[in-house]
Amino acid sequence: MEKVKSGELKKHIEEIKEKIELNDCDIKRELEDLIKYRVPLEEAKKTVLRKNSFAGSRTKNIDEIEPNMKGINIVGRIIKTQKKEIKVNNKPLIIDVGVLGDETGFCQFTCWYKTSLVEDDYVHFKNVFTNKWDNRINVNVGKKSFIRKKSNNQFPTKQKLMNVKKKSIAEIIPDDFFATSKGIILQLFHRKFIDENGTESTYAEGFIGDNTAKLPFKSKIFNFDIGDLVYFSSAFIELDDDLPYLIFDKNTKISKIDQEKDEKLKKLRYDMVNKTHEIAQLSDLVHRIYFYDVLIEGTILYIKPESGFIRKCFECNKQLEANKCNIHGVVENYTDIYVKAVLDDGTGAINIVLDLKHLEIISDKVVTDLKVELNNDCSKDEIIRILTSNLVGINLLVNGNFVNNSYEKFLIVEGVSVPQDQTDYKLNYLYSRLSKLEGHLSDR
Amino acid sequence: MRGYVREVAQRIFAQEFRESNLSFKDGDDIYAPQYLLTPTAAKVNRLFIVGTLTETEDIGTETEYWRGRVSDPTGSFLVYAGQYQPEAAQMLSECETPSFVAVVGKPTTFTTQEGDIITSVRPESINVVDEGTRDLWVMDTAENTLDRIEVLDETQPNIVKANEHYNTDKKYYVELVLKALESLEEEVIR
Repeated sequence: MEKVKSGELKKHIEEIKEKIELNDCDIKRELEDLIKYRVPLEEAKKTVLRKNSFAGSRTKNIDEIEPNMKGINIVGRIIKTQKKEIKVNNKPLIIDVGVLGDETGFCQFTCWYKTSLVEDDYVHFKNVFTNKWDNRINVNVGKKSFIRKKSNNQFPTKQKLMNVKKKSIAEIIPDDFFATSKGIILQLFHRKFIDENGTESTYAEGFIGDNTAKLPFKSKIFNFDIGDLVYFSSAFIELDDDLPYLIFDKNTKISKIDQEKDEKLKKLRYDMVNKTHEIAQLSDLVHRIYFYDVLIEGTILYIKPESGFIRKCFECNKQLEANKCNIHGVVENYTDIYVKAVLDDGTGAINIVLDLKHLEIISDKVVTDLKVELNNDCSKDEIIRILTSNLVGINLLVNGNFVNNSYEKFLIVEGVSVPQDQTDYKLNYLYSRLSKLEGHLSDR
Repeated sequence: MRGYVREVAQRIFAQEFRESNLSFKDGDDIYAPQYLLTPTAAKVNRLFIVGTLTETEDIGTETEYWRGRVSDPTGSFLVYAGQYQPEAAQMLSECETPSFVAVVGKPTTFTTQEGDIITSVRPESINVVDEGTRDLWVMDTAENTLDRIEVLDETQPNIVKANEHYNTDKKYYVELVLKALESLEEEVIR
């Protein structure tokens, strides 16, 4: 064993300490460990440095981070933070979750231990790793990471960071975290809820939209009415099952716009904005992350094998799991059909989910066939066969909310209809396109 | 790309499909999908056809191997289903001819001893449909073909590739679409 005097070792420890953030004990332990295993001192020093330093890593801007990065440093301001109690291996653990921001954007973070972080802190996260959580990039501050709180008056304040660039409603995506835009209040409900302290209060929820798209919102205080055109900034974008909604909270500035003063704004009217957005081609839809209330046309090309009969709760219409409703427990229930199908229009393909009330609109025959089989206690394959033979090849108009998450692109179907026969109209349209093309070609 | 993307089912007329002979893989991966590039630069990994099933025949020697011919206004598609496409094979064995069918399937190519490339369809599903569905398909396919013809001068890699390989004559395919639409009109008048 290479002999290293403790005094000499101390010198080396100091040398290492200059380069990395690790306490004496840990450095000493690691060094001694390596020396015990006959690693030359110089090599051992390099190993300790390599293992613990963020060599090669550099400080990244938030817009540069991707899922599954390791050993990176991030500098930013804490925008939101919240303590959460979770269970890891059945032991309670308090963690910090929140939103971190810099001039390039925002990301989620999770500190896997209790910290004293508060909103508006300017922090250095060192040696952190990233993953994906709730369809958003998440920065993890783990055991080997460091948090350094610093003061920096030059760095933009929380308010300034949250005040993001103005976008149209359709351009707002979950990765923005905050939204600044304007829109007309299209729907509004006031709901009561009881908070953690047991006090009852109300909040407003509804839809806001412009001529590009619409988005749901929630707000504790809301002094506006349906039809009002409002401007909002620093609204937080929350996710519910991969679908975003806006939170108007204490940080959000929201004000009514006087439409009469602006010629351009006069054109933005409730009746024109409050509509289902028609998408001409599925290829225009599939690259989007979400879209509320769209209307699309396509052909059913495939019935997925997970389709079949299911039981639903009478109270909430949700599917029972192991004969129990997740919310209401053992309840009265009814049979419905779950049809997962592929809708394709030649430019793109998405999944849709249909139930019995949709099938009743599409085809009486399939409903009759299914009801016969329900009484006969038929096999799953037989149900798939009935659905396939009746539905594949059928052209459908469906509307609902579109979600594109890491797993699939699908439409939560609200309504469905079979398009009317438009043969004459379509033929005329195609002929006019043909003659245009022919004209072009003969000109050459 | 976000997650898995299902391949779109292209709508192509039989004549164009028969004239296609350029297949390629997207990427070097052994799992990379195989595509057939048609003269109007449709990149086909999956097809959707609605037409008239005119012939069915079991051409298998030991096990059943069914061949079906599906006709559209411009020509016909050959559909082959064997033991690995049991539902489709059963459908071909049971289905009466002629009848309107919708076929979803993958394009396959076969090189003959003479070096000719023959295209056919390996069906994922075959279903009997009504005449309305068939007419709608002809119009949708006409529209999709027009969409492709209209951008044939652009410089996307696949369009350039198709033009180089087939030396595509736009006029020829415009006439093909016209032929398909006229056939529809004859029927409508009748």
